[in-house]
Amino acid sequence: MASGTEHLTQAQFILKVSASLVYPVAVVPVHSDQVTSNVNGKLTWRINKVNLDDILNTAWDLLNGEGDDILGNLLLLPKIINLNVIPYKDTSGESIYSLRS
Amino acid sequence: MIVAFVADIDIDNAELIFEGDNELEDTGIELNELFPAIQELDEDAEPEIFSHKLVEGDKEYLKSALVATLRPDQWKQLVVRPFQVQGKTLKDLYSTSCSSVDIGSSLNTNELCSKDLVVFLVQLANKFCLAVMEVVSFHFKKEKSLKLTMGVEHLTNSEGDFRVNGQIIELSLSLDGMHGTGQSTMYM
Repeated sequence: MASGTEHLTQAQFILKVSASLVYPVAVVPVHSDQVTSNVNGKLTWRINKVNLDDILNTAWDLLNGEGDDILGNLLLLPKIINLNVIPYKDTSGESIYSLRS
Repeated sequence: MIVAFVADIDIDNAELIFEGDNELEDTGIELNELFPAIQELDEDAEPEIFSHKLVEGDKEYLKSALVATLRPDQWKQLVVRPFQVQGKTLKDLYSTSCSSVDIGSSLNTNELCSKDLVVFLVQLANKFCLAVMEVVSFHFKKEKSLKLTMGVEHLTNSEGDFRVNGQIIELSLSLDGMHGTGQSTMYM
């Protein structure tokens, strides 16, 4: 992520991904009073964890494809250099939604 | 059935007197049951449509809090567009309980739009991780301009002609772990 100037632009945060790799996910509105995590907004939304679990498994299965396809498919995945972006953490600070290669 | 209205013309205490058969013939239904009860209006009350706030119970909410934002610190608030398409109002969203909403209700099944969320695998050092991204725009390889919508049929396009541009968002796991239907949830 380049930061040659003091003012960052949205374009510097943009990731470009092939449409064949993405899966839509639904959100549900929820008021922050119903959330016990450190959400500081009045109204936010949630994603069902089961949905993310299912997508993770499906995406990984499809990536494997048939036979030797997995090596070619892995090259298609975006590569994240900034280690702070992901993976997501659980409440104890452990990484979730990540698979060891 | 014959009914008659007699108006008592008294300026200080205008009164409408209803005389006649107060029961519908053959039905046994009282006429006054067909009219809604009249609620007294507070003359000083500001019409809610002109208010910047919504009142739900004893709490007030700013309507501006519902405007979707994409902030540099990756904090994101509710995307209301998919719900507006479904005819839901702001008040519906505020009064909605988690357990009463269909988990798939926010997705348009025909097309993806800017500010929708997508999930995909990414390579992070020696790991493969799931990333959640807010869509900013779509790019079709044969076109120079960016698009704000894309048909979902293009998700299965294997030629790589379609690209999704977006920003990875930060999620946190709810501390309660179990919520609503007994399933763990991820919050922004």
